[in-house]
Parts: sequence; C-alpha cells; structure tokens
Amino acid sequence: MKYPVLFYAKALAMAVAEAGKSDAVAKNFLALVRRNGDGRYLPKIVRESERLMRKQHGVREITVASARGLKQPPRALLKNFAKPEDEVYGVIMPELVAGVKIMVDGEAQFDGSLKGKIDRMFKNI
Amino acid sequence: MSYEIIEKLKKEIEGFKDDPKWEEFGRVIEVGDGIVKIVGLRNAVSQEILKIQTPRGERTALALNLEEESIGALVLDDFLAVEVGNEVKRTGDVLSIPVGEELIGRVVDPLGNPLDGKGPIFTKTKPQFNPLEARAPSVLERESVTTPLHTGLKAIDAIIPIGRGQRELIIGDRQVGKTAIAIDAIINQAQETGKKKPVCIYVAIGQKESKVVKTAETLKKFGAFEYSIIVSAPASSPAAMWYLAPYAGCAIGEYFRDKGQDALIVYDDLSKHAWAYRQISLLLRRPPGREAYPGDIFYLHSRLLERAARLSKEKGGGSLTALPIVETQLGDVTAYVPTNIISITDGQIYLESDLFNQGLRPALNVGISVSRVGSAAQTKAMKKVAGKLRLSLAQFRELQAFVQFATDVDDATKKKILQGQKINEILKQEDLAPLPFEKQVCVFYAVLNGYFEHIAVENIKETENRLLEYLGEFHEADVLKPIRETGEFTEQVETKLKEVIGKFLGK
Repeated sequence: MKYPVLFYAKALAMAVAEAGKSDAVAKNFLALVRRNGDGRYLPKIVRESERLMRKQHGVREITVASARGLKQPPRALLKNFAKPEDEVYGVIMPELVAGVKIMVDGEAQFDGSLKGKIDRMFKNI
Repeated sequence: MSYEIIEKLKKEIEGFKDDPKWEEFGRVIEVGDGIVKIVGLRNAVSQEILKIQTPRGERTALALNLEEESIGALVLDDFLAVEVGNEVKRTGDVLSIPVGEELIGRVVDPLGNPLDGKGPIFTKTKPQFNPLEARAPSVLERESVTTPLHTGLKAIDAIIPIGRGQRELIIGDRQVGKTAIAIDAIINQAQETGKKKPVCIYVAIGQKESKVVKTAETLKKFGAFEYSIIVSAPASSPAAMWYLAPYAGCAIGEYFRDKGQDALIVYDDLSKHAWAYRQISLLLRRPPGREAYPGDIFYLHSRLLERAARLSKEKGGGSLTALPIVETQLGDVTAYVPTNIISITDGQIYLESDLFNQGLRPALNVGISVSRVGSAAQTKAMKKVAGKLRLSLAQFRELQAFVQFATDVDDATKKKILQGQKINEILKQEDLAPLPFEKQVCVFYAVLNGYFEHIAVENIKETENRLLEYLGEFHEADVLKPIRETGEFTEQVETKLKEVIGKFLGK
C-alpha cells in the first residue's frame, strides 16, 4: 500500500469539499488509487471518507439494530433524537432477542436490547 | 447447597434494576500475536483496561498506542478468542493489582491471580488496588540510603554493600549465579533480627515453570516464604505478561513501602523484559531503534527502577530496594540494555564466567563491581573491619599477575600473595548458605589481621567454619550479640574477639 487509507480518505474528503461532488473528482481519484496499486482498499477508503465528510458537515450516522424487522421506519423511532440531516439506517441483529440497540457513528451506543439487559444483569451477579 | 445458590441468584435477578446508558464502543479491526487494533473509543486513555466481547466470552485488553484513528491494545488473556469485528468497551479503569498482607507467601501472576493452587488470596481482608504504572516518589519524598540490607554474602556485604532503598544491578552471563545471589539475599533476611524484616518480592520473568517451583521450594525450605511473594510470568505466558510482571511486583512492593515497611524486590531478569517489550512494540509497529528495541526502552526501565526508594519520615520512612538482574552475552556489558540499566542503577554486582569456572563463588569481579550509595549504609562494624579489604584484594590481584612472570619473589611479596589467597578462600561461599553479618565481621577481622597467618590456604575454609562454630557456641553473648545489636565494633568487643581468636587458635 503506497499511502494509508486515512490519507486517501482525507484527500478525497477535502477534494469533494472544495470541488463538490462531481464525476471528474471521482474519476480522477479512482485513477490515482489504481495507479498506486491500492485498488483493493477502495471500499475502506470510501467508507472512511464518507465518515470524514459526515463529520465535516456535522452529520451523524445512526444505526438502529433490532432482532426482527421494525413496524415503522427507524427514523420515526428517533424523532426526538435524530436531526433531519442525520443518516439513519436500520439493521436486523437476531442475537439481540428483543428491543433495540442504537449506534451513532460506530462509536457510541445505547443498548436497550434484551441481550444487553441479560449481559448487564449477569455482570453484576 | 445448590438450593442456596439458586435462591441467591433469584434474589439478585429480582432485585436487578436495569439502567442502560449511552456508552462508547469500538471494534477490533486487526488481531495478531496478542495485539489488537481498535477503531472508535476516542476518549480512551493510555493504560486503560478495555473489554473485548468475543464469541467465547469477555476478554481484557490494555490500551497502549493511542493513534489518530485507532488504538493499539495488548490482550491480557486468551488472545486466540479475539476476532476482527468484535465489540470493545471502555472500563474507565487503569491497570491495577490487588495488594495486601495476604499476598505474603503466595505465587501470583502479574494480574494478581493465584498460581499456587491455594485458592483465593484475599479471604480475610479487602485488598487495596495499586496501579501498575505509578509515579516514582519525588525528591522531597525521599531520604538518602543509610540503613544496610545484608545479603549474607561476605563478598557483597564487605565490598559492595547494599542499602535499603538502593537499586543494585546483578549482571553477568548465563549460569554464573545471578539468581543465587538474589535468593541468598532473600533467605538472609530471616537472620535480620536487629532491624525490620523486609518483605521480599521475587519477580520471575519468562522463566521455566520448573525453575519458579524450585525457587518457591527453596524459599519454603529456608523459611523465607513467610515473608516473600513470587510474581511469575512463566515462559509459556504471552509477552504481555512478561511486560507487566515487573510493574506488578513493584506495585506490590510499593504497598509495603508506603506503609512504612521495608521491601526488597528482585527482577529476574530485565533482559527478558526488554525482549518482551521489543516484541510488543514491533507488533504495534512502533519504529525500531538500536538492536530493534523501541525508542522508549530506557524509559521502560528507568520509570520502573525509580520507584525503588527510601521514603522520608513524613512519608512513613519505608523503603523499596531493587535488585534487577540482567543477562549479558559473552560478558558484553556494552550491549544496549545492560548499559542502560547500569546507568539507571546505583551500582552493579558483576559476575564473571571465568571466575565461576575457577571455583570462586560468588564469581564476583571486584574490579568493576561497585555500590554507589551503599557505603553510607554499611554497618559501622563491617566498615571498620573490612575497610581495607578491597585494597588488599586489588594489591593481591596485581601481584599475582606480576609474579606469573617472575622467578624470584621476595618474602614480603610472598606474604602478600599468601594473604590474598587466604582472603579469596574466605570470600568463597556456597549458595543457599548466607552468613549473618556479625559472623562475617569476626571472620574478616581474623583474616585481615593476620590471625590465619600460620594456617595453610587449603585449610582456611575448615578453620573458618570451626571458628564460626566456636563463636556461636561459646561467645554468642559477649561477641556476636553486641555486634548484631549495636552494629558497632567497639574496643571492648575487639579486645574480647582478639582473646577468643587467640584461644581458638591455641587449641
């Protein structure tokens, strides 16, 4: 790997911030990564640059995990918590058994699932 | 019994009040040889304990590298269970070890878990938790080293005395008796009746478990386990344990030091500790320096050894004496780790393979062994009697080298050489046979004042043993006891000793 993922991601995020989201930026960036032989790291680079761009604009990535499909869209569940610009996703995690787990930017979480409750209970015993 | 347990669990479950909170979490993105890389946990601090949720249960890790986008952590237990993608949580606690009086007589691992099969350690008292990484006492909190710590080894107590709170390095090649000196020093503390008996901590780093067992058995055999603790990170344990073992031992020693007691800690050995730290640092991708050690290898040992100190009266007056051991390769003391530790410590006991092979045990090289602060702590009696010992030995060594090429030697030189040979015989000592300092004083007085002049070199050892037996049997009260209790060699005692030796030799 010629440069670390973070360097590529930062460069892409800065280029997009300056030139805006355009085909030319994407094309040039892809060409650069390919020329450096780092094509296989592209998914990681894109994920990281998305995270940086979200951070730049104060946008949060909120994931609502539940054991089975929710009756209402995840954003509706978070009407008092999520801002309109936040990106809200829903995922299914059967191991939660019941309840929901909310994760923000992959760094903070609120575990309201039954699994979390059982884990906390047995931790104290 | 099972009914009671079930009832207890039922009560706990019934009384459980769940209060889920927002918490930070991260994810493992890389795993390898006991090291994990974690993304997230931006607020984690260095040396913080992290909990990794693996499919096989919770595992503990120690945050070491705090980078811009990730954390490099050291897995403290079974690292094979950790997988990429595992969730990691903070605990907010820095690594600490439970310490207390109940640790005495036990063998523990660097996290404080018992290894001796005697069950839980703290059954009667609540332990105190001491952090593994602690600040060394400041200048104002310290006092100079003035109290001796007798090792029971004649060569050391007379020539390179060690004081309580000192850091004295034991250095030499493999199989020259480095550990034996440390073990003798521990065993000898049982004979220290005049002063506070120090609590001894033996830290075994990367040693064979059979050797640790042997050490524990030896200490038990000599009754030294009653005031000793063993911290073991055996050869089969991961590098993380080797790295943490000396800090764990030091945290235990600090507990006794801060209580106003004296403690003695042996780090056996810091070369292996440096290897473990090198391995961890390379896996964490820290830039390698000389001999591939990381840049902070000096700080690794200096911050550990600085914690050995004698505290001021205001701080309780306790002390922690450190005897770090370093193994050299082919006697090379100029290698990176030995030079670092030589410069950190207050002196070194240098053991030489050649001397060991000549039968001189301890194989001490008097020329380059020093004690920078110990002479201030040497017992007055020993200072008075053995003050000229180093000079006599040095003169003997010089003459010995010279007469190898000379055919005709005058009587005075012959006498000096003979005297030197006798001193050498007296300095020879079997391992596990430490000698109380008052007996050492009497032996040195006899040999340095020419009382053994008419005794053949090959009979010196036997004469010494018989003299000691004689003194112990008939002159405990009038010779040995006053020296032991006052630490001084008064004119009165000297006159009596002269008379006793004369009488003994007359027999």
